[in-house]
Formats: sequence, C-alpha cells, structure tokens
Amino acid sequence: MKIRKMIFLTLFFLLILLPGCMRSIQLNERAIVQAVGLDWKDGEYALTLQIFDPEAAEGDDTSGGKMLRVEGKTISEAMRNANLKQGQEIFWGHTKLIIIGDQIARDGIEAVIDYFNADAQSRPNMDVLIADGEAGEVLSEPLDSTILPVLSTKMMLEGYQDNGKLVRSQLKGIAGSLENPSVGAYLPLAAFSGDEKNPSIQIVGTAILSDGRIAGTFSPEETRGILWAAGEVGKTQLTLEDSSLGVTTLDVVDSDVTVAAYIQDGAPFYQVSIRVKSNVSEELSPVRGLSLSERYDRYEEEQRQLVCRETEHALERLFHEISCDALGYANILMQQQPEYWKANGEGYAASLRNVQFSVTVDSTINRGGTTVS
Amino acid sequence: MKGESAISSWQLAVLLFLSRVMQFFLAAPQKEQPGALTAALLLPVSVVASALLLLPAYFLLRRHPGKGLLDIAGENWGRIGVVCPAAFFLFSLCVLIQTTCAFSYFLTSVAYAQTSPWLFILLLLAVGGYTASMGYEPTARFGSFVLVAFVIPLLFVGISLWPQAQWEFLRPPSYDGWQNQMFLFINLTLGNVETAALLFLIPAVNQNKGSVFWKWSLLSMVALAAIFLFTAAALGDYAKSQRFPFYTVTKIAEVSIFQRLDSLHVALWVFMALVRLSLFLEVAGKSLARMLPQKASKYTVGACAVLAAVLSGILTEKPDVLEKLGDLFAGGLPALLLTVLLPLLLLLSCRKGRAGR
Amino acid sequence: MPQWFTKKIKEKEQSLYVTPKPPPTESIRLTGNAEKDLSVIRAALHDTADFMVREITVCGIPVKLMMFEGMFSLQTLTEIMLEPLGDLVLDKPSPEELRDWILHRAVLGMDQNEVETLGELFPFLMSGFAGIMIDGIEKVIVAGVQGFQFRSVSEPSAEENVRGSREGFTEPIRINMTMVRRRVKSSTLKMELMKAGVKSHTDLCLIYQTDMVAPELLRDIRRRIQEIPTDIILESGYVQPFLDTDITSIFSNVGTTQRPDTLCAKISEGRVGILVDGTPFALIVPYFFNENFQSIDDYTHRPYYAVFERWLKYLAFFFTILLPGFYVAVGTFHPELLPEALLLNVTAAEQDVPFPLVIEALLIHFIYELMREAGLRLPRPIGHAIGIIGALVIGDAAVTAGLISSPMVMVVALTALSSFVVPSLFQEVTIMRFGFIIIGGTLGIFGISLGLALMIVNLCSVNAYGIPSMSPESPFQMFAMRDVLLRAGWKKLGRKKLKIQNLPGTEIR
Repeated sequence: MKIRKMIFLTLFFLLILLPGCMRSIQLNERAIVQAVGLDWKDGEYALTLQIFDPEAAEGDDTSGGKMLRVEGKTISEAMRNANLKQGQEIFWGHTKLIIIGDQIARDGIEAVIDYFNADAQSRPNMDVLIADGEAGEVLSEPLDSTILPVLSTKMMLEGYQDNGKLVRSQLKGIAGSLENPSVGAYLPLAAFSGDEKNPSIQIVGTAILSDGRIAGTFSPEETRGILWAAGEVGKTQLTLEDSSLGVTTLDVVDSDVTVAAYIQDGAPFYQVSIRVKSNVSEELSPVRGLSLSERYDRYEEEQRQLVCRETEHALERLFHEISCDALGYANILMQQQPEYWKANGEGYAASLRNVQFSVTVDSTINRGGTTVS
Repeated sequence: MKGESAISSWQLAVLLFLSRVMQFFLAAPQKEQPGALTAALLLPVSVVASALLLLPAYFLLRRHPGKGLLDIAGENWGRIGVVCPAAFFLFSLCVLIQTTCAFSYFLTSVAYAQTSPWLFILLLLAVGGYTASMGYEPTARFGSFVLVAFVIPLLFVGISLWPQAQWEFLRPPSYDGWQNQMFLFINLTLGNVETAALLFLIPAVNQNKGSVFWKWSLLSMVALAAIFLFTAAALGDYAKSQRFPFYTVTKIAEVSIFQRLDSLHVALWVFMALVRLSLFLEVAGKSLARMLPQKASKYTVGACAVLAAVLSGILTEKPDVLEKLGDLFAGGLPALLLTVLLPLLLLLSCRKGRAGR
Repeated sequence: MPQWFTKKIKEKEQSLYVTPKPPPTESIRLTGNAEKDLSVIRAALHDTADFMVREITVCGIPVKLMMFEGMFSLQTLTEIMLEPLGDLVLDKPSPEELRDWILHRAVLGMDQNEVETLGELFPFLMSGFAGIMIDGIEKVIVAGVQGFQFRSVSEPSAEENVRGSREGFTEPIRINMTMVRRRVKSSTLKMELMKAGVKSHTDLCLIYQTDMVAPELLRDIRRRIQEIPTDIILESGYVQPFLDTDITSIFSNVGTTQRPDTLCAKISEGRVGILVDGTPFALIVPYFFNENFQSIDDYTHRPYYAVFERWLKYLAFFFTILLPGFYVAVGTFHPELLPEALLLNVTAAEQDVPFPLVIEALLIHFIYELMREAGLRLPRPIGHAIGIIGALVIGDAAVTAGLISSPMVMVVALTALSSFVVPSLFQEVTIMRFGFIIIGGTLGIFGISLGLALMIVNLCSVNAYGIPSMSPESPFQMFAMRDVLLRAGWKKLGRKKLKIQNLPGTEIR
C-alpha cells in the first residue's frame, strides 16, 4: 500500500510539471481585433486591423480603438508582421467584420476566406463585406463617435431583414459557397461615407460573387428582390405609389418563400412562391369613394405586383445577366431532382442562362377589426 | 467473467451510448460519404444487422448465465483460451490509441494550438486510468452525469440553430451511390467498437441483460440521427471545409449573450472521452489480468493506461499508421472477429463438448 | 522503497509516538476494606485536588462518599442521599443489609450502578456521580447527583434557520438525548450508550430507529467505535475519521448537525445518529452528498420556494469551486467565451495589473482566507475591524494600487458569498477552489473539466456503508429524487417513507 502511494505521488508530481507545456497568454498580451480590412496593393496583402485599445477606454466607455496597418506577401506573413509591430498576440475571437477590398474581390477571395476558415479562433459568424474601393479606407475613419463604426455596422447588418436594402453574409456562408462550384454568394458592398466630423460606413449595394470573384452588383433598391427570393425579408416596409391610390406604406409582418424545382425542356425551372402578409401603416392622400375593403384589395394587388416585380428582376439579373446562382437554388434542385442533378450537375453553373423561373406571390393585408360590408 | 460489482442495464447502455457518440464527434468527413439523410436512414438498418450478428453471442451467453466470454473460453479451450483475452486486450488497446490520438489532435486543432499532444495524452489517460481503476460502478455512475452534461448543450444547440436550419441541404438517399451506402452501412454496423465492450461487460449487469443492446441502440439512433441531420442542415456545404463538423456547429450556436460556447462544449466532450477511455481501459485491464498471474491483476489497468499513453505518443507523430488503423477498424474486420467469429466458435465448441459428453 | 529507509521511519515513529493504553491502575479491583481502597484510589488519582471524600456513619457502618468537586449538585446530594442515609434505621445493621437497602429499597439517584474496579469507578465519578463505598463491601455503588455547570440550550451557531425549533444540542450528552427523545416519542427509538477514548472514556450514544435501521449498518458502526484507538476524545471530529468509510474521498460520508430536529429526521430514514459527550455536534452516519444541500427550512417552506432554495445551493456550490478557476481559464486561454463587452471591460481592468490572472486569483483568495480566519479567531470587540480592513485592503487600496483588478474583486466576493450558502462543505470547497484556480491557470478549461471529472468520479466511487454516496442521482431512482433536486410536497413525502438501505446500488439490507 505504501509503495502504491509512493508511485502514485511520484507520478502525480511528474504530471504537475506538464502544464508548463501549455502556452498561456494573458489578457493584456492580446490584441483584440474588432474588424479587419484586406487589400491587395503592389503585389502584397495590406491589412488594416482595428484593435481595441484599453488605454483609450475609460469607465463604461469601451469604444477605444486603434488602427494597425501591416503588409505581407501572404496573409500569414502580414499577421506575423502585425505581432512584431505591436508585440501583442493577435486575437480573432471577437472579430466582427472582414472587409475585402475590391481588388481582392475581383481576383478571388478564396485565400482570404480560407485563412479565416482555418484559424481556430475566428468565428464562422463573422460578417464579410466587400469594399467599394479599398478596405483600409472604409475602416480608417477618425474615431470621434462614441460607438465604433464596427459596432454600428454590425448592428446595421443584424437588422438587415428589417431594412430590406442590404444583405448579410457571414464567413460560413461564403466558405460553403466556395465548396460548391454550382452556387455563388452575395455580400454587402460597403463604402466610407460622411465626413471627418460624422464618419460612418454605408452599405451602398450588394456584390454578387461567382466562383469567389465579383461578378456583378445590385443597387440597394434591387437588393430587396434578392431578399424576397432568398426568404430573408423580415419586417420591412413597402411603399406603394399609385396615382389612383395615393401613397401607401405597408409594414410587412410575415413572409416566406417556397421554391420548387422542375425540369422543363431539359433545363431547370424554379417555381418561386412567396407569401407576404402586411399591415397598412400609413395612407397618404387615399382615394375617396372607395370602401376600406376595396382599398385593401387594391393594396394587396399592388403589393403582389411589387414583390413579384422585384423578385423577377433580381432572378433575371442573377440567372440571365450575371449567370450566378447566388441564392443556392442548386441545392433545392439537387434535393428535388437528384437524377437530373447526377447527370447534369457539373454543367449547371455554365448553363444558368437556360434556367427558367416563375414567381407567384400570395399577398395578404391584415384586416383584423374591420367589418366587411 | 464473473461480475465483481453490478451495474444496471441503463447504466451500461448510457456508457456505450456516450462512447459511440464520441466516436462520431471526432470522425472526419470523407469526400464521397453519403449524405446525412442516408446516414440517418441507415442507422436503424445497421441496428437490426448488428442484432442479427450478435445472435451467436446472445445464445452463448444465455447458455452460460453469469459468465463472460473470457470465462467460457477458459473453460472450453483450456490454455488456448488465452486467445480470447489477448484479442480483447489488443482490440481495446487499439481503440484507446485511436481515441487518445484523435482527441488530442482535436484539442490541439481547435483550442490549444502550439501545445504538445503529449500533455493531453498523459493527462487524459491518467484520469481515465484512475476512473477505470475504481471499477465498473463509479464509471457507470459517472456516465449518468455525463449524459446530462451531454443532453443539455445538445438541446441548446438545437434550439439556437433551428431557425437557421436549411433543410434543402439534406440530399435524398437516391443521390448517393450504392457503394458509398454499403461502406457506410458496414461502418455503422461493424465499425461499432462498443459492441465488443458490450459483450465483455454484459456479465456485470445485474438485471435485464438482454435489454442493454436495445436501450443503447435506441439512444444512439436518436442522438446520431439528430446530430447528422442537424449538422448538415446548419452547416450545409460549409461542413465540407471543416475537420470537425459538429464542433463547428457548436461554434455557430448562439443565443443572446451566449456566444462561442464551443470551449464549453470541448469541456463536456472531455467527459465523454474519459468515459470512452475508462470503458476500454477496464476491458483492456481485465483482459490483461487474465493473461498474467493473480498478483499482477491490481496493476493491469494502470499498466494498460501507461502502455496506451506511450503508444499514442509515438503514433501521434505517425498519422499514416493511425489512418491505416482507423481504416482497419472502420472496415469492421476486428469487430467482426471479436463479436461474431469468436462467440460463434465458442458456441460451436460448447455444443461439441456437450455432444461429446 | 529500500528496507533500511522504511526501518528508519518506523524507529522514528516509535520513539516519538506512543500508542494509547489505559493506565494500569484502572484494572485494580476493590477489596472491601474502605480505608485501604480509598488510599489506593487517592494514589491512582495522584492525590488530585478536586477529589473529595466525605466519611459518614450509617447505622454504625462506616461509609465513604466520594465525588469530584464541582461535578455534583449539593442540594441533590443532601436531599436525596445524605438525608435519607442520615435518617436510616436498619433492623439488623450490616454492610450487606445497608447495600441491599441502597440498591433495592432506596432511590439515592435516578441512575444507580455498582462497580468493582477503579476503571469502572472513575468514569462515573468524573461524570458527576457520587460513589458510596461501604466498608466490608467489595463494590462501590455509584448514584447520579450531577450538578456540573454547562451551557444552556441555545440556538445552534452553525445551523440557523428561518422557521423551526431554536434548540440546538449542548455539551452534556444526557440533555441531548432528552432533546431527541422529546421529539420522537416512539418505542422504536433506541439509544445505545458506548464509551470511547482509552483515557477520556467519553460517552457516545448511538441513536436509531429499530424498525428503520439496517442491522449490518449498526454492526459496522459499533465495530468501528470499539476499535477507536485514541486516548482522548474531546469532539465528534475525533470520532468522525474512524467512521468514514473512504478516507481517500474528498467528501466525508459522515455528517454533523447541531440540531435535534435534523437528527430526528435523519434517523427516521434508517440512519444512525451519534451523540458525543462534550460537544454539541452530533454525527450522522451515513451521509450522502446531496444531504449537504438540504436543510430543515426546505421542509417548512412551500415546495416551490424550497425547490428554488435547493437549486440556489447547487448553483452556489458550483460557483464557489469553479468560478475563480473558470475566470482564470477563460481569461488566459479562452477569452472568446466572454461576451465582447465584458471582455473589453475585463481587458481594460487587467491592463495595469502586473501579475498573471492565476497569481492574482491565488493572491486575492489567500488574502480572503486570511481575513476569514482572522475574523473567526479575533475577540468580538475588535472583530468588526476585519470588515474595515477587508474593505480597505481589498476593496480599495489593492485595486487602486493596481495589484488586482476590480473584476477579480467581484469574483472573490461572489465566490465567498456562494461558499456561505453551503456551510457543510466549507472545508472541501476551499481546498478545491484553490486547486481549480491552479488547474484553470495552467491547463485551461481542459484542466478544469479533468478536475471536475476527478471530483465526480471520486464521489461516485464512495460507498458509504454499502450505500452509494451519490445515490439517488446515480444510480438513479425516481422515487428518491423527490427530495433531491426537487422537494415534493408533504402529502407525497409523508405517504411513503424512504429507507436508505432501499436506495439503488445498496449492498446492505
């Protein structure tokens, strides 16, 4: 028994030595990166890191930050230079935004996505944006505001479903699209706006990526069509302008989309069925002489036409103009028409211009509380 | 083998279940592997197939109540009967090495980069060895707590990711080729190393021994089907770029301020790894004790832990060897020999012996 | 281990430590010659100053009354012993007649016994009995006339409650026995007196319900008490280690209580209570892990509130052992676990602290333990100074000086508060807390989970007298769980009684 105790104690103390093998990094040795901008300049990567600066933070206000610019032939080399330049270990665990410069977007974003995808610290939920210009310029406003542009951008992106004019794209979605050659991706397009006194990041549209490269852009007004087709509309507002009806604002309370894939004339055919339910929030100069019920019927029809128009326009541009299945309809085709996919899946991306679609909209205006005469 | 202490059928089923799920957490996705829906549908089929394959063992153990395979082999085969414990010992040792190497690789990949895998190997096997040395009962009781620690986060992940699930990523079974489906079926049926542990530990169960397999299979089917389907729906094509897909699922699951709880999940998986390690250390230790003199039986679990640690540390630097070992077990040959052929031979030899008498 | 080394250790042990043995004088028998016996008794007691002898003559027979000063009640002695003896008239006076009268026809004390040896006599005299030595009789009659000073029944210091009895055990064992008997007026309640302590002959009382207790459990406890080799037993804590079935376990499977109502509740489930003379802390055997989270208030409050309190205690337990270690682990190895706003605040706070988180945590917890211990030992008049020192030293000066950060102060405050919620586990959580801080600071969450696994396995491996210590959580039994994580209402609890030997995994019946 004593021998066993001695053996046990000896092993125990030997095990105690093991923790020295584990590298520990204190909090004050970490550089917490909140946003990163990547550009390709002069044959190398230029990274702009927005790092939390504890010395600038006072009391409850943790909005202090500092910018760090580094270059390198590869992203890893640039990161090593970042460690050298400021001595702290770069920490990706709370990075919210990746902004990719337009040059990289034109050449291909695989390397950038692969780097962050492979890093154990980075979050798959990081938002990815394409810069309308250089990513470094988008990030490098003077930090006068009490809220970092990073935070406000994040909040803006989180409300994308209610905004209706911008999309949201995260690292996991883009990495997934790169794994599947048949689908593309859509990302918000960001630009610096305002001035020195009131700096901000503005989303100026949507970038469509095909095979990791930018293939086209959508304006903010066109972006809602993508959201309808992807079923990502939350509680947006629709404005109906009609000479006979006046100006009416509808609050969308519920919407979803169902996509059915068929084969028609040897080519994929997508039946996109959208269901929209709204409330009338504002009626400016409503036409007199129409009963409430008649007006609501008209609004429903207008809503249906509007949604249909926007969606068809988006699908038309995506499939026929840009030739990119950024919505991921290929997965639905694979699920619903597996035999077709097995035979023709490899050539799907090249033959998108042959894809046909039809959009139907079930439009409802809430009439709770009204009496139907 | 006579059971020194008794555990209930549910306790053993829970241990086997946790060990089984652990195996899938650490499994790397294969390039041409069938989809999640196919895997989920194959699960009940593999359970039925396993039940059929275990029939010889079932009849054998029913004929010798209170005894295990090692006891029966010793009584019927005399000196040659040492083949039985030797086979179980080697089998368990390989499982221990695989598990330890895979888990230490997992930890160094996701949480503790630049850390020597020796640290994890030694610590895991030290604690696993301590647990195994306590016997079946403490391990089984520990397993009950781990079950609760496993289910709660799983529910959290499910609830947080349900709104984001994209079910269009579930490929229909007809999409997957029959060869891939067959390989997956063999993997699910014969790559199931817990079957060997089940046969070894059945004598330690106090009541309802026959129900252990069904309880374990039911738990595994439900949990694994949920994990397969959910991982596919939550990650979609993103899963193809992930070495540990379910770990990535835990990374993206978030509710309000509860974000990036993957490190907590890692902590919970350490419990599950310990359950698996202690389960197979007990099998290895008891098998080794059968091959050595009585005096050495007190030290066999510790010896197996040390041996597994040393071999894991060496093989962790040789991923090609580990891959071959993994392929061998995934192919099902070791499990087939141990859980089907061995009981069949014992059953036949018992029958011959009775006919002779 | 080399033999010469183990031999040296054994020799050292033998030279320093002495195995307790009863004094040889205790085996001396009384002769019947009162003078001679008295001188032997005085010599055996080394002429101790508190030994008193009063020589009287009863019906012409010399009688010596022996007692220890301060142990007896003069009024009781006078009224029930001296006066009757003084008035006694015997028909045929003789020592045997006098003995017979005292033993069978008089009541000179409620508790009377006859002893033959000094070893039997001394414990009685030292317990407040008076010894009546009749010249010519080889035995001494001892009669209970106790009147020593003791602390009155008061509220238990360590187990206060909101609703329920305010009585707690005191030092004299007889009074404690009375308190239990008053609460359980059942013929099945049995009290068994034993003695332990080679020199102290301390009274122990085993209390149990004959229809609930397992005979095997009783036998085991009796055997363990009889085998206690200690010479002096001053507190139940001296007895506790001998009743613990697994000394390698972090948690004891012998519980303590100061409350008679708690003891009665425990013995009604088949447990055995042990009262020890000289201490208000009674022992409960066996004691399971989940009992640390039960209190008498749980059964007097409404069930929904009792459930809330229980959960609070469980959470507090995990908080107090894991929070500092978890904080250190997360700050050092896994900062991504913290919500961003919290991480930024913590980072800003830790910016100027010169120590790594693990050192900071160990330092602050060490200071806290110093303060707590000092607060316990300080005399009451200056005890309040500890609060001021604590607030100044930790709350203000250390943070301002940048030695520790304010989040760490919050952590230690929460940890300390949580430790007070489960006072019965105070010792264990204190040690484990330090352990987890070191593990968390060196191995991160991986180490904490290993440590937690070790703790749970250690708990699960304990079979307290053949009953799993973690029962009924594991092995699980739904019926018994009605009083673990939840507290079922009394309509349910009162309907069917739980016997601990019926818990799953039990080896005794």
